This record gives sequence, structure tokens and C-alpha cells, in this order.
Amino acid sequence: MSLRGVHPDPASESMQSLPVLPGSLSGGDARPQVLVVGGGVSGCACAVTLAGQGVRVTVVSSALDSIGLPGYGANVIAAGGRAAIAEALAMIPPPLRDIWLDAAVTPDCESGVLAVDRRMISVETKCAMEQIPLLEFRQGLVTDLRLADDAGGGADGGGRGAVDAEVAVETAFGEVMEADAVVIAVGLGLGGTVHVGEDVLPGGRYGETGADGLRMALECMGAGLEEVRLEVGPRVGGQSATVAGSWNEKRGGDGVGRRLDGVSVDTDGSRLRSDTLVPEAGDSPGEVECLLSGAGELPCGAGEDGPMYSIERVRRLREVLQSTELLGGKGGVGRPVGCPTAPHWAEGLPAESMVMLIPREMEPTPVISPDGAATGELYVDPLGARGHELKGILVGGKVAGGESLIASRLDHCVTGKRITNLSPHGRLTLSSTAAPPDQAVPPDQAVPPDQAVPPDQAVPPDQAVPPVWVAGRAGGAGDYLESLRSGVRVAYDVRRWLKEIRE
Amino acid sequence: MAAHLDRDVTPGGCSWGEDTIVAISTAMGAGAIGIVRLSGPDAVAIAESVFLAARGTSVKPDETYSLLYGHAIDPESREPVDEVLLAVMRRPRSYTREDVVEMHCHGGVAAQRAVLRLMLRSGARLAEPGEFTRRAFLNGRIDLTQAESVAAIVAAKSSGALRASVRQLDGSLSERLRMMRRDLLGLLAQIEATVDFSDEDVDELDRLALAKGLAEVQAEVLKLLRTAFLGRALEQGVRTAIIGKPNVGKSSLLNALLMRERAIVSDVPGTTRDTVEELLEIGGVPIHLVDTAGIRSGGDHVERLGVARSVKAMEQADLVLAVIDLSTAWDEAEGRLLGDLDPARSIVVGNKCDLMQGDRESLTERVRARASGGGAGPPGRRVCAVSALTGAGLDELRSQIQQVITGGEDFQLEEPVLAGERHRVLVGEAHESIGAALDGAYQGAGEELVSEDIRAAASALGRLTGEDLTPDLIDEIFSRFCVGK
Amino acid sequence: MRAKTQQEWTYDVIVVGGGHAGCEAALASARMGCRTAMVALHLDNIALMPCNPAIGGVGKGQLTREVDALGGEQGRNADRAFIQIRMLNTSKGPAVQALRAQADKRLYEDWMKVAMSRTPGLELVQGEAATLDVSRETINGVTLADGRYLRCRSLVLATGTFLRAKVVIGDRSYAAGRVGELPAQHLSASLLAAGLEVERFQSATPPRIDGATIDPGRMVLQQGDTVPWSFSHWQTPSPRRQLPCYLTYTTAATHEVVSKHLHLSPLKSGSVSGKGPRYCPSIDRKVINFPDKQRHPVFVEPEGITTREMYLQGLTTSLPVFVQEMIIHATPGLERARLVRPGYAVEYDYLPPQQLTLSLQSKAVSGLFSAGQINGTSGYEEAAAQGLMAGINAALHARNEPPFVLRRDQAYIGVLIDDLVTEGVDEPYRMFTSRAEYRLLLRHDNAAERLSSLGHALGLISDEQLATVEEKQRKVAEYTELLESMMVRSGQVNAEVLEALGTPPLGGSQPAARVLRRPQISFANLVELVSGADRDRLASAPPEVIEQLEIQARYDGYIRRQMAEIRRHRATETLLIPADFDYRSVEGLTFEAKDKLARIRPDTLGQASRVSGVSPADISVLLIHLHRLLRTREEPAPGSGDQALRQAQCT
Repeated sequence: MSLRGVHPDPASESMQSLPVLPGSLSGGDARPQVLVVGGGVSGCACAVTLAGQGVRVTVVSSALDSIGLPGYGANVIAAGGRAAIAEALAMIPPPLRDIWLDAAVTPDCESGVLAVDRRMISVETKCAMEQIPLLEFRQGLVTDLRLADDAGGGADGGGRGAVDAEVAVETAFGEVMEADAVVIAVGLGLGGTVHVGEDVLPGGRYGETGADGLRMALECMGAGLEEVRLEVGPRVGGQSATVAGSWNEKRGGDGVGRRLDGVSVDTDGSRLRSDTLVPEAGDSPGEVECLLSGAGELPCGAGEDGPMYSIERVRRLREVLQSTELLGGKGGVGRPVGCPTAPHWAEGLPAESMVMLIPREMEPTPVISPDGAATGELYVDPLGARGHELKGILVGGKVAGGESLIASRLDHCVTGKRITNLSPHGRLTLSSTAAPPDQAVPPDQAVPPDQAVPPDQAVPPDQAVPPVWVAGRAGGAGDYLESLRSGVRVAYDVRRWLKEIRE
Repeated sequence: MAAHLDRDVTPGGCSWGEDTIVAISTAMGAGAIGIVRLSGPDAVAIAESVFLAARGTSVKPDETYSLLYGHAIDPESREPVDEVLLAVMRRPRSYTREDVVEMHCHGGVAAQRAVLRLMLRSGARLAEPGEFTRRAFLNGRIDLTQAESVAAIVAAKSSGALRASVRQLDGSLSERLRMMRRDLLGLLAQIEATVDFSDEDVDELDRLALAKGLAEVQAEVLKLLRTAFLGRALEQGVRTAIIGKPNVGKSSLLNALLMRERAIVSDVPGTTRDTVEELLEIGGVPIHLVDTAGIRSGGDHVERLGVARSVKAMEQADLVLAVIDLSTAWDEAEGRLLGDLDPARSIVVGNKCDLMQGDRESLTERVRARASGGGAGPPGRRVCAVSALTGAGLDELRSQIQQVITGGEDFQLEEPVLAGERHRVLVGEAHESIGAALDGAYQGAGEELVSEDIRAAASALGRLTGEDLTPDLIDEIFSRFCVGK
Repeated sequence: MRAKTQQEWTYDVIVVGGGHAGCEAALASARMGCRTAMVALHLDNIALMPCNPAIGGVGKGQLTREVDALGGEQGRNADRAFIQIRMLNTSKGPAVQALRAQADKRLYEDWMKVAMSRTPGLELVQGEAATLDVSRETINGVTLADGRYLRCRSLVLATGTFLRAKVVIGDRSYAAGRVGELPAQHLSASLLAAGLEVERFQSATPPRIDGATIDPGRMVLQQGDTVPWSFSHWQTPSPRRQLPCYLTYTTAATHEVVSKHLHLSPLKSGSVSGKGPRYCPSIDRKVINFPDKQRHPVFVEPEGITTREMYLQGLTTSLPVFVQEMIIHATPGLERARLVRPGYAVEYDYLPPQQLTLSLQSKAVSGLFSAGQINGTSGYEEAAAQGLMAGINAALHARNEPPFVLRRDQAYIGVLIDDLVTEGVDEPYRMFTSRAEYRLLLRHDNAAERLSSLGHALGLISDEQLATVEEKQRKVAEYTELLESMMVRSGQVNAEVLEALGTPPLGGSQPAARVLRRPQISFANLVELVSGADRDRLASAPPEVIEQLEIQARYDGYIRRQMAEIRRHRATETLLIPADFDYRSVEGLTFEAKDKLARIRPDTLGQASRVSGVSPADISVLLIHLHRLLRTREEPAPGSGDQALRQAQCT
């Protein structure tokens, strides 16, 4: 989805209209059929899928400027490698899929590691979603959730009269919105707190204004809540992290190549620039003093015992998947022409010039990855770093002159609640047959977009179960790809339910 | 924490005598001699531009101190204004350690003010109260120990002037000035609204309405300026000389005027010289009557002296009452005396009309005939037939005196009057700026230029009323227009 | 669990706040070679545009030009991200013309983050500055809420509207710096403890709608200029397709909705205690203050190329959301517009600026500076201007060099800061050209001539940049001289040309400069009036030089009058008043003057003269005492008094 199409330019082709589900009112201020609470990764995936299926959906988010923003780390580590990534993205509706294919970078070498340009995803997702008819946004901090039966009383101030719909949400500013169904996609926002250094902040991710009303409402409805913890790694200001390691012959793999046994980060503010990192064949190995270290030095040296890192040039996920035929077609968003360009499209900054530090011997978990084109920060993955005494990085590595490098963003831990009693399709189930809390939701078989979803056997449709679904981390998703997929899965289930209550 | 200002202030950049200041430095009307003093880099040049030295003499550049006799002249018309002495004191051996020039005028208040106005026009700036003393101190002429006293002098002069102006600025005058300034701000707000909020819904500037508004304020200011003369009169009294040949009844007229009116005895700082000076009030306006009739003794010498004194009194006076004796015939001396009277500032008084027959009109006609000296005098002369003995015609004379004082327009005395030279100069500045703004508005000059002129006028009036411009302007804009986004 | 952090980092300058003021301060300090850290609540929200996504306007545009002329970033960044640009007041004189650009707010933020990230010596730190470390009235550092301690020699507060902030609609409110962002809860207490005065202000923002739901047919289209304008002197922006704005008006029906629900407005119900902005009034305030005004303009402005949301300028309100929708739908062209973000009010702590010196340094705490909305101003341009100056002075303070101050006759920045620290604010201050008494000198077109050499001396303007400015000045001087010497003959040919231009023929041959001073004559006309070598010389003049020649001609007399006035006041403007000067001991000062001056403690005599309640007489007396003080302190070499004064004052 390109930026060009944002404002109807008479010259550009008009967008083909999507099939509209019979029975839903169209145009004007018709009430949305589905409310998606939370505009993060899963919320957007769910809303885009629903709108794609002709369902009128409104995304209610506490901050429209962070719509679609992956709110935590920069990395995604897909256990199944590239194939799993390609397969996961296959089920994501086109506008989002294209954005993630362009905004994610992955190393040349065979690995299931992604680093995402969070800012690019946020900007492009909002822009793309605004193009989709039937999909609307509303800024509001949701503080309450009410069902038809207990939502009898007219909301005060709202003057909207009794809730005659299935479900309604209320915002901090006293606005009441009704719909047939609601999808909770607030990430770790249910009772979320962020622990950063000695500070404890409310909210499901750093900087978010948290609200506890939603969690209490869900508990009253019988939702089982279980605490979830998420470690988010620190970030280091790129231009002051003058890091260089020693390098030597690249062993094995596909022929001779040079690889650094340490990290070399260029200092002129552009991130891990590839041209200084993977010197051409024939250069002699050199010993360079390592600076990216704090309490824990980043061990350098070519010895067999010391952990070795490889600096891998990264490329856009789209190019890598196309080159490995895991993704068909030559598509791609390409650079919009004639508009003020964005940093993630400008020459010299985009992903091509970034690299990633990967420890060689463990399964390829990234240690340092770029955090996006616009920011100069580098993301340090807590998993990747743990084994390599980069703890020091957690409080800041060393800068020339001995003083430790300050972390531009401290590592922090987010604790929130995930809802346990969900059906495999993410719907709130009140019976005890809910899936045991610790069992990860089975990876879903690829669901071709047009094929009807098999009815959910576990929950007979007629049982009085509230029309509430939960997507993303609030439903137990572990990373961004899982969040995307769970959003889509919930969308199909909601659409199926909507069709049923229509008949 | 010494805050020093931007780095490009060159050491030479700041000195205390940037421009040349001028002021009348002797109390108005105190003595016969009035001094107009200049100080500053262009003092000599400005003085020379309004001075015509007597034959064969000129200001010598190298002399540190020179004294010249000559005439103050109007540079354009080359007309002499007053017979003066010019004292030039070159820096640094002067009172302010700058070039100082003093012009000692002999003419009365009118001459001093004319010289002052000429000097202002050729580039001098009216000094702030106490500014000469301040420059003297700052240029090191007065040493540190006297700093306290200098500060006191400066303060006294400044606050003195302030007290004086407050006294003179009676309620109605400052209110009138504030009203005029308020009107100017209203006009300025119209322009500024179209300038600062042009990207909002403010309708275009109505230039015609602006011009009309400016014209109205200009008329108001002109009216105030015209009372400048009256203003000074209020301060020291209208200097009125009674002249005429001996025994035409000058002294009886004086007494008649005095007896009828309440004589005001006050400590007006006038020194009584060899003329009899009385202070009385006519229609609320203090009249400073100078009767050359004071010379009692006879004899040719005295006579010659008397005439010379009359001539001098006539020059110094704001108003001349030329008394003639209706009962005697016209003669050469009387013709000469009435010949060089300034019709705008004189009244020919025909005395002893009680000895003559005929009603008021015919008596007045007789005086007019005598005044024109058989056709020799200029037309439009003010005449009045009175009898000092019986008091006939005195009311007529009194109203004529009042007319001369008010510059020909009759208005009630509670109209504010401008006292003090500073006020007159500032209101003059305002009048000039409003005129420039009016021309700009008519000729389609840029809004920002018309606004500069109105702003100059409003701030000139503001210096009188002690209000500063910008905050009031912003309030005016936001109370009058719904702007701001 | 993580180890308890006792780590400590040392910087020359720390800037707290990542808005328009914070970014300029941090960039300036780092570019002057100081090791700088910028502490911001959220590094994803840098240089946000929470209100109107526009830069410039009449008065504000001049500020942005001046920031650029001094080497600041706002002008360049606006050039990178604008989606519409117009020169305002083109029908009026150059002294009141100014640029205004609508920007894509997301791209504006992105490009500023790129600039911040690529500046050596500048480190970005995410965290809440909680407690200032102040001892013996001097700043030593700041402790973040997460426990980290950052040491510094200077600290700039640029926290915008975040101190103890709450957002309000109707009778509902919750703690937030902006909707969706955490407020800074701790710092205000620390500021009070350090002896700073803290008060409350309130401002508001209008609702946003989905741009696809407007009815352009019922509104007036406003296109950008096709001329390639740019804020920055140093780069030309890339050509781009510009988006239009739309103008519509409220109607009686709109006002009726507003007045019917006024009882629900926080302004009325008192739940908003801060003083509201008169300069950007809400629609509630407009309806209350101007009941008989039939209509109020509403500008529907795009928020970006990357979003379809549109900003409803003129409908700022904090009425309940359902009322906002009714107001929008009662406005022509917006009948079916869909509300996306409700408007809301935000109430926040600010520092009354009279407690600052002209270099924006706190009088209570040495080394502590403040800039932007925390000083009680509104607007990104006012914030950027203060940020740049605070950053410069924080760097100079860290290197214990004397501060850098601009006078009112040098820049709008001088007018802005002098107004703030001398007269203070009783509502969020906004710049207007009518605030500048030397408006004819402080123009959009001569910002570089006025300021770039100062920027170069500070190290913020490169040699090449300064060379281009000086080259232009040299050319202008050359052509000015040429026009003085070149004569225009009064022959028949010229008489006809002049006649055609509606101006009388020349009496005799006159210098070209005098002919150009006639309002009807442009430079192009002048070229017609000369021939041969003269005409070639004139015709070869570059356009930016022609512009200056025409401006000098237009403002000739007025500029000379203003320059004379400036020279006259220069001595008092630049006379410094020692920080420890005791006004109470000055006999001859009025009581009110003693009290006000002792409280405000102006830096210069010029500033003292602008304190309300201080008369010219007071200034004369003060001048004498100051002079005596300076002469006694300096033990002047024998010779004239002012020599000593000049040394004391200008070193």
C-alpha cells in the first residue's frame, strides 16, 4: 500500500469496493458491527481482515499516533525459520502483509530472525488502514466493557440511551460505543505494569496511559486472567556506540567470506554499516579495540573458546523470500514519488544498509539489530545478549574514555494479564473446557482467505457466551507474527459468528 | 553573573552623546534675556544654520570659546527672528564636555520659542528634563563625589518637570490626550488585524474609513496644538504691554482694568524691573500687564528712554494695547507708533471717548480711522473705544483681549490647554506623524508604513500620558476582533 | 532481577524534554561541541505536533527563519515534511510577509529523529527526569525515575505541557501529558524545592475528522503557492504535490449547539483552573465573547500525506464528545464528517518567565535554563526559538563563557525573550509582528544578514554558509553604491515611461537610487530608464539582490528613522545591571519602581525601562547610580568617565 493513495488524487485509479456483508448498514454514522479495542499489531490485523470480509469495524485506541506500532522489541525469532515466517505472513491480508515484508529485515544467512522497523510499520499501517472502507478509527482510552444485559442503564452524559446492542465499551472521556461484538487486543494492557529500572509505570507497554477498568470488566464476565511477563531489551544510541571487533576467516558455509569475530558499528550515526563490517577477501585480519561493553566486556579475539559473532548483512524480508521462492510475485510497495518522502524510503537510510550481529554457534538469535531507519538506536535482544555477558549493555556499554555508554532506552519488563479461557479461535469461553493456561495455542493451519472457517465444535453457538474475542498477547500470543496471525484468526471467527446470528 | 550582550558590540559603539539636544534653559519669561542652549556633536552646525552673524564676524573652528553678535534667522526665508548673542564653547571645555552653543535671545517668549522650533527643524532633539546635567556627569565633567547631588538635580528636574506637567496636565487635558491615543490605537488595531491575522477571516482594510478616522484625530490634535499659546499663558500670564504717548491715559486704563478686576498677587517669578508689572485675570486667563507708563519723571532724556522702552516692551509682549487719545488729533509720532504694530497681537484703544459725542459704532469708527492713520495702517486691525474714566467700553476691550489669547477661536476655558514646551513638541510630533499617516492612507502606501506613522503618533502621546504602546494595542485588537487560531 | 543501578554519566549539558524546544536546545549544544544528553519521556514521540501540524504564520514564520539563520533545525525540518506552503501577506509590504507551511506531522517527527540521531556528541535517553540535584543554588545533575543519575554543568528544562498534566473533556479528565502519553509527575515538586515559582496554564486542541468524509463542494478550496518557497536559507526543498486546505464557516446552528451545552464545558464548570489562551480561543470562548458574530472561520487542514485525518482549526473545544460531533455536523461541508479524535483541553504547570534572565537562565538556580511551553508560551516556533537560545546559553555556561542575548532591534527572538522575562505572561504568549517596534528591520528576507555572522561565531553556521550570506551582502552594497552614482536622465523618452507608470517626470537628471524610491517604480522599470552599459549592469543584478534594493527603496526614510532611534537607545539597551544591585538604596526612584525592579532584576537598563511602573525619570536616576557604581568598581584610568563605562560594559 503506497503513500500515494492516501488522498484521492483524481488522477489515481479508484479503489475497487469490497463485498459488503448483507444486513450491515452502510454509509453515514451506522453503528459498527465489531469494536476492536487496541490498535496494536493484532488489533490492526483483526480489523483489516474483518473489513476485508465486509464487516463494519471500528478500532478504538488510546493513541492514534501509535496505530500498528509493534510496542516492544525489534526482533522476531521464528522457530520454523524462513518457511515459518513466509507461511505466517501468507495468511495476513495484503495491505499489512506488504508493509511487514518491506519493514522487516532478515540476515542473508539462513535464519528465522527478523528485525522490524517499528516506526515504518506504524506510519504505513495507519495510512493503509485509512484506505479501507468499513474500517474506522476512534481515539479513546477504553475504561469499561458492558454486555447487553448489564448495560441496561443509559450511559451518563453519553445521551445514547440504553445499550440495545450486544456489547458496549466506554472511554475515559465518557463516550459509549456499541457493537455486536468486541475484540480485546490491548497487548499486555490488562492490568499491565512496566518495570523500568526503579520506576513502575501503569500500562501495557512503555509510555502508554494504562487503564484498569477493562481488566475488571472482563473478570466480572468470568475471564480467567494469568500473569504474563515480557522482557524488552535495552536500546543503545547508535552513533556513540563505537564498537569494533576483530575478524577472521568465515568458517564453512557457502565458500570463503570474511566475518568479524566481534562487532563493528560505524560511528557517523548510520547504523551498523555493512561496508565497514564485512571487509572484502584479501584484507588482513586486524585487532580492533572493543567498545560496546559495560560491566560485561563483549569478548573479542579469534580464539576457539570465545563465543564468535557473525555480522550479517540484512535485506528486506520481501527480497529474501522472493529470492528463495517462498513468496511469489514481484510486488512491493516501492517509493512513492512526488510526496515528501519518509526516512524509511529515503536513499542511504533504508534497511539495505543495516546489518545484524548474530552469535554463530547458538540457534541464530540476534544480539544487536537495527531499530528502524529514522532512529539511530540499536536494539539489543535480551535472549541473544544473555549468554554473552552483554549484561553491561543492560545498563550501558563502554564509550571511548572509559565512561560507560548510556542505554538510550533501559531494558524493561512488562507484566500484564492474558486471558486463559479462550477457544482456539480466541473467543471468550465461560465453560471449564477452556484450553489449559500454559499450553501454547497450537499453530493454526493456514486458512485460505475465502474458505469458510469450520464451526468451532468446542462451543455450541447457542450457549449464552458474551460476544467477546481476545487477540494478540492479551490472548497469549508470544511475538509479533503470532499476534498478526491471532488477529486474523479471531477475525474469521467473529465473521462466522456474525453470519450465524444473521440467519 | 554578568550578562554581556551580543558579541558584535564594538567598544566605540556606545557613547552618551549620540545626538544633539536643545532646550530653553532659563525659566520662561523670567528675565528679558532667554537662553536657548544646544549640546552635542552637531551643536555648532545647527546653531550656524539659524544664525546670521553681523558683518565681518564668523564662528572660528579653532577657538574654544567665542561670542558673536547677530540675528537668529529662519533658514528658508532668511527672515530675522531675534537679535541675539551667540556663545560657542567647544568640547571638552564646556558644561557637558560636548560642543555647547548658547543663543541669548532678547525677544520675549515668542522669540525663544521660534528659535527653538527652528533648531528642532534643523536636527536637534528636545532635551529630556535634566539631560544636560546627566550628560555633564556621564562625560566626567562632574566628579564622583557630586554624584549624589547630580542624581538629586536630575531627579528634581525630571520629577519637577513631571510635577509641573502633572499640574499643568489637569484632568481634562490628560483625559483628552488619552482619548486621542485611544482613537489612534483603534485605527492601528484595524491595520494590525489585517496584517497579523491575514490568514483568518478579517475583512480587508477599509482605507477610506481609516483616512476619515485619521482626519478626525488630526483635527483634534490641531485644536490642542493651537492652545499651546494659551497653555504658556496660563503658566506665566499673557505678557501685555500698554504703550502710547504720554498722557493718553495709559495708567488710568491700567488702573481701570485693575480696579474692575481682582488683582492677583502671586509669587510669579517675574522680577519687577523699571516697568510697573501687574497681574490680573480676564476671563480666567492671567494677564501680565506691563505698563511702560511707570516712568513718572518727565524730560527729553526720559522721554527718549520711555519710547525706547515702549518699543522693547512691544517686542517682548504677547499682546500690545496701543492707547490713543481720541480727544487729540492724529500726529506723526502716533502714526509711527501704530505703524509697526502686529495686527494679530495688538488692539488699538481709543481712550477718553467720554469726551466725544456719538454712539459706540461711530466712536469705534473714529478709532479705526485714527488707527489706520489716514490709510497708512494695515486693514483688519482690532480697535476699541473706551473711557478709562467712566469705564465705558471696558467689557468690549476685555472680550477682545480674550479673543487674541485664544488664537481667534472662541472656546470655553475648561478646554484643556497645552502648557510647557515639552508638551507642545510631543503633540507637534504626533500631529506630524498623523499627517504622514493620512497622506500614506490616501496615496495607497503599504499598511506597514501607515502603521509606522500611527504608531509614532500614538507613542508620542503615550509619552505624555505614561502609557506604553504594545500591550494596549494587543488588548485593542483582541477585544475588537475575534481572531487567534 | 536487574542489579540496582548506581551508574552515573557525565555531560556538559542535559536537556529535559524532546519537543520542539528540547530538540533545538540539544542540537545547538551538541553542535557547539558540548557533550549533550536529551532526556525524553518517550523516544518514539520526538518533536510531536500535538496541535495544528503547521509551521510559520505571520510573526511565527519570522521566528522559524531566524532559528534557521542561527543554525537551528526547525526551518530545515519543515522543508523536508511540508505538504503545503504559502507566503502570507504578499499583497502587503515585505516587513509583514511570512511563510506558513502545513506539514505531515509523522514525517516531521521522523526527520527530526533522524537529525537528532546523526548529531555527534548528542545522546538520547528515554526516561522521566524526576529530581533535580541542586546544591548552593547551582545545578549538578538530575536523577531519572528509573534510578539513573546524570551529572551536568547546565540543564535545560523543555518539558512542554507535561508537568503534572491532565487532559480534560467536559467533566472528565485523567492524568496525561497529551492524550495517549504519560505526564511527568515528579519534576514539579523538585522545581518548587529548588525555589522556582510554578503556576498552571491551560490550552486546548480541536477535534480531528476523517478527511474522506468531508464535502469539499461546500467549502472554499485553498491551494499552496507554486513558487518553490523554503524556510531554510541553506537548502532547496524537493518538489512535491501539495495538498489543499478547505475553508468553511460556523453558522448560527453551530453556535446554538455550543451555547446549549456551555454548561458542560470545563471552562464554565471550573474543572479547568488554568488560565485559558486568549490568542487561540476555543469555539466555546468565541461564542461567549462575540455573541453577535454571525460566523467564525473553520480551516479544514490535512494532517499529512501519511494520514487522511484532517485538523479543524477554529473548532478548538473541550466540550463532551457527543457535543463535538453535533458541532461538527452543524458546520457546512462537515455535515457527514466522522470524528476520529475528540478535541480536549490540557492543563499543565508552567514557570512564570519573569524568574529568568535574558539568557533564559533561572535567577534562582545557576546553570538551570528553561525554554518552550514550560515558560508559558504557545506555538512550536516560539518553543524552537527559546530552545535554540537556551541550548546556546547552556553550552556557553558549561564552558563558563558569557551568555548570548539578542536585542529587540536584532531579532523577533529578542522581542520574544525580552517580552517574556520583562513583562511575564498572564496567558500562553504568542508572537505577532505588532509586538516588534522595529518590524521594518526584522524581516523574513534579511534573517541571515542579521544573524548568520552571530551563528557562525557560535559555531552553528559553517564557513561556507556564512560565505554565501556575506557574498550576497557584498553584492547588495555594490549595487546600492551603483544606484547612488548612476544618473537617470530626464529626457523625453523617460518622461513618457514615467507618465505610463503614473508618476511625474524627473525635474532634472537624478540618481537612480532616488528614482527607485518612488512607490510606482520597480527595479525592472528602473532598468528601462537607463541605457547602454548602465542598463547591462542593472540587468545583471541577481534576483535576491534586486529584492533587497527594492525593499531598501520602499522603506528608506522609515529605516533611517528606526536606525537613529536604535543608536540613541543603544547605550541604555546594552548597559548591564550587576546581579547584586540594590535598588532599595537608590534615592530618587519611585517606590513602585524600587519594588518592581527588585523583584524582576532586569539584566540591562533597556530592559528596566520596559518594566511597567518604571518611568523615564526613574531610568535617568538609575543611570547615574549605575554609572557611579561602574566607575568606582572599575577604578577608571584617568580620563573621561564613559571610557571606563564602555570597557566595563562591553567586555
